[in-house]
Amino acid sequence: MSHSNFKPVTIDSLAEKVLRHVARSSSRRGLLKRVGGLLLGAASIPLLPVSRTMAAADIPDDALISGDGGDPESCNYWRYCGIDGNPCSCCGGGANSCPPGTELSPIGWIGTCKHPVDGRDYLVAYYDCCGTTSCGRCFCTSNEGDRPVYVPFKNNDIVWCFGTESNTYHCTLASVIDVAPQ
Amino acid sequence: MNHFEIGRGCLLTCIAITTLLPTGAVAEFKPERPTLSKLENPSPNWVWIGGAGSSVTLMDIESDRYLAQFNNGVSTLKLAIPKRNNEFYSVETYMTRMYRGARTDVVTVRSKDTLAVIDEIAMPAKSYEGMSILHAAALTDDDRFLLGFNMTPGQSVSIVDMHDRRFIEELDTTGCALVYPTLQRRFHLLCGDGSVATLQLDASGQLLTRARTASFFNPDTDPVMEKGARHGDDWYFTSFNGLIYKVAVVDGETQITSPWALVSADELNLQWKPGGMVPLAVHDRDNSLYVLMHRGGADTHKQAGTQAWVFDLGSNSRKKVIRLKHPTQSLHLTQGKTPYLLALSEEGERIDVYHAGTGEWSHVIESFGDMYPALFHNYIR
Repeated sequence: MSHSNFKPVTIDSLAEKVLRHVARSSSRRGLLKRVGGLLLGAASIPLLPVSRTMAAADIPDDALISGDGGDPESCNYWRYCGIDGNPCSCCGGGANSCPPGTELSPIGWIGTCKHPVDGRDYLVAYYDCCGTTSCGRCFCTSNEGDRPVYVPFKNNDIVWCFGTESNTYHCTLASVIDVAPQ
Repeated sequence: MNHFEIGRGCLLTCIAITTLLPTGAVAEFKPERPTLSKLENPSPNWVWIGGAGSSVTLMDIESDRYLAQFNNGVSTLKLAIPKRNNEFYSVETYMTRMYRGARTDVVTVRSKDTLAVIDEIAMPAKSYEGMSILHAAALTDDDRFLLGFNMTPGQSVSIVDMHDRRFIEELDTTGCALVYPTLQRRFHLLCGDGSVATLQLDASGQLLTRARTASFFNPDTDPVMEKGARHGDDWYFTSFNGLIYKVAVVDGETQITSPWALVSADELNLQWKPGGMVPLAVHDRDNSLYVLMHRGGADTHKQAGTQAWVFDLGSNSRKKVIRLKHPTQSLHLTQGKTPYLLALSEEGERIDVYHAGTGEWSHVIESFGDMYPALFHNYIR
């Protein structure tokens, strides 16, 4: 990567490698079809532990965006190009934060979203917030780049609350983790 | 006792008494005792309806009669119905505190007559969860072993012996997903490299053989949908763009036939494509494949269909187009003498019932329980 000055939300190197590989093959894809109250695989996910430390620097500024593209409660919000579920910003959390009473899933999904003002493509990691039934608000879906279940990391039918104490899906957040490779 | 022999002086009082109190004649009255209904005289048009949510409903599709319901925990519907036994199986997930606590996955064994729970068999708590799909659990053809697809997101298949009521083993199927049973305790899985894996179990449920075909489709450019339909021992799959592949076992080897196209060149230009949650259904006796079709561009493989196209599987030619009353997400066929085509609406609020033979609309079913419906299973296999 040549974007050394970018300070992304931190993920470990293996997870980053895997997720970026996925992202390269699709510019926009759906994440997950959500159904309230579904439980997920409870096994831990040793390969993709994720720690998250928000960094303010170099994250595109939403304030520069006019209209829905800058509204985290709209499905047209620029970070949600790859989402398929309930954005946490409609559920008591934020575009990059889980609501109270939920648990952040340690495994994420990547989309590549174009910022409407600076025109750059950014890698966006989507994470589920689990522990209470579906928020049911602002449902956003896209199947662009979606592939069948036998290609799991490109599939948005799978419920991805793996490795969490509670396995019930509530909502999805979107973290900007890097500038997309050209 | 004759009431009319009583004097007039007490007429009103006696009328009241004889109305309210038991008499000699009334004493012989046999009161009703509440009973528990059984499912009797099943019809080929009895269909299980389920999906997400905890309830699974049995309806007589022909008469629009609600027959019974059971609950399947906090999992999507994963039914496996044996051909021979008077029982059926459901892979279910439970948490000790409903949505939290220790997770337990089980195969629940129920009576087909009473729906009473007969038994349950613990299995690894790894069962696949996601949008409802028909291929997350199945039985081997001899009804002996249940195959439960797992995702953690590592992929594997749990083998459960339904005769001895015990979990046997978990088979690693990394790179390959879901279960499509076929003859002689074999089952296929679709793989991420565009191939099919075929595993065969021995009589004790242990892995006997494992084989893999060459890649025959490109998962990036025109993937095969994982929502297949079985006809005899063969499985049919469609690609996103409408190429039909048949997966067959010939002389013990899995073979893929050359694909044929659902759509003509003109229809391709008009962007006709297969799609939906359950886009394929087979009518066994008629040797017919029903395909849910819509018009749409790239990545519309889950879009609700507006027509059902019916193909003869002998000639691979289209013999009928059924224009659906409502955008449809799932198709299903009953297999009796009077077969019906079920079309579940996009929003899941109605099931339109068509005569499968003619394609003529018959009636609509609008009340089928508290769930988000997605899938159908025939009560009689």
